[in-house]
Amino acid sequence: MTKREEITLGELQERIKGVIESSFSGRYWVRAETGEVKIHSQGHCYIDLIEKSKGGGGVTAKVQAVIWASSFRMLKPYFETTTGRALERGLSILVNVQVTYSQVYGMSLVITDIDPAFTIGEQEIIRQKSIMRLSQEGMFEINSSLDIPLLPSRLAVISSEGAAGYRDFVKHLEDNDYGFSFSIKLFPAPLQGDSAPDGIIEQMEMVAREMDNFDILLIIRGGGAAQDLVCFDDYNLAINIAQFPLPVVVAVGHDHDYHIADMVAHTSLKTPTAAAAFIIDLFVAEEQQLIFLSRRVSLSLQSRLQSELTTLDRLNERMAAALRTHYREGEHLLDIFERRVMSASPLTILERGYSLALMGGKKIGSVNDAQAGDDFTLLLSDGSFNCTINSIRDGKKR
Amino acid sequence: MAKKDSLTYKQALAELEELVVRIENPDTDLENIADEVKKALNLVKFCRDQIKGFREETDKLLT
Repeated sequence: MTKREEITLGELQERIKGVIESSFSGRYWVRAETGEVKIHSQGHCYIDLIEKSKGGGGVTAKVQAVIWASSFRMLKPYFETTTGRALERGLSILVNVQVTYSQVYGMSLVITDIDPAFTIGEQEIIRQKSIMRLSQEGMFEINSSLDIPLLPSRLAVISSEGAAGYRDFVKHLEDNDYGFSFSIKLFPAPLQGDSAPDGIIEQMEMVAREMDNFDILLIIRGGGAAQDLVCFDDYNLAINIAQFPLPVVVAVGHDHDYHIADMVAHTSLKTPTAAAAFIIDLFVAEEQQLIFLSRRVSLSLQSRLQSELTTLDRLNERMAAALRTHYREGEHLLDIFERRVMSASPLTILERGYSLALMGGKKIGSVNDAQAGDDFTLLLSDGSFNCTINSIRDGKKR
Repeated sequence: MAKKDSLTYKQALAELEELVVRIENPDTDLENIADEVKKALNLVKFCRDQIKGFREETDKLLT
């Protein structure tokens, strides 16, 4: 029976520590993905570094790492301002580590430096892949091909209730100088962090369920740290926006940001106030169009009336002229009749002192028309005599 | 002349024309010609008054 060597746990750990720390005495740049990230109350940051199999499956490597508070104070702002992201789960990172071994806590990596450029690169690659995929799927043209109604007054808004951006949006809309009124319904959702895309998509489904009550959907977020806006590069959120049945207006960014959500939306604006102004402007434009049209109506009406009046005047004048002619002709005819009566009337002669002998109503024009003893009438201008012929003298016979 | 009230211009003119033709006709009986001449001249006056009335009426309407 061979004598067995027995050592204490402490001695074993001491030996392991010695082997590990002497074998891995240098510093190593390690590529990994972040798992759980915890910040200790004393300011130390504990991160699980992991590696997943290429197919996107399970974890194939995992180790605990720590950034001591003294380093973390400088590395945190450096990382966040450079990448525009918080140091959180799910990031690809490149870290400079030192391997340490503790008899109590086992092996861990002490992170002494971090290269944000790597994370940016990784993030940008993911972003570019999403953009390319969305482009191939034709997602950039879908929502923008929807027509915004002429007067979009029924607004579905996805935002967070307490957010300054949402309040700015509502205030700007309600305080518009023109007295337009809007109906705004808020669908609250978290607008930052990993859960934001799913939360927003969930609320979009709520809006879609009552889409007949809305003209457009707005996704609104006020200011905030740039790293909070990474969720607006999410592929799933992008396809949901692109295929949304209502026009989607996105106003989440800062002046220098342009997210995938902006690219697939119908309209993308910088700020909540700009989104409100965009809607008000649609109303103003429509109102101006109305004013313009009503002026045209009134002008054309006036000119039409003027031309009708001219026509009427002309007709009136024609009628008056026709009547004048008519009356003149009538009077002329009467003049003629009057002259004819006067010239044919025997009374004219009688009035000059002549008299007219009648027998049986006919003129006695010749001595041969009567015989002595005949009665006849002698017509004068003021009456007549009843006469009898005493004798006849024939003027032609001497 | 009670008949005058119901007489139209057109009827008056037709009657006048008839009278004129009768007065001009040498065969017309002269016994009553004075009445016919008087009647014709009355019709002339009636028609003139009618025209005057029409003119006043239409002038009023057209201005």
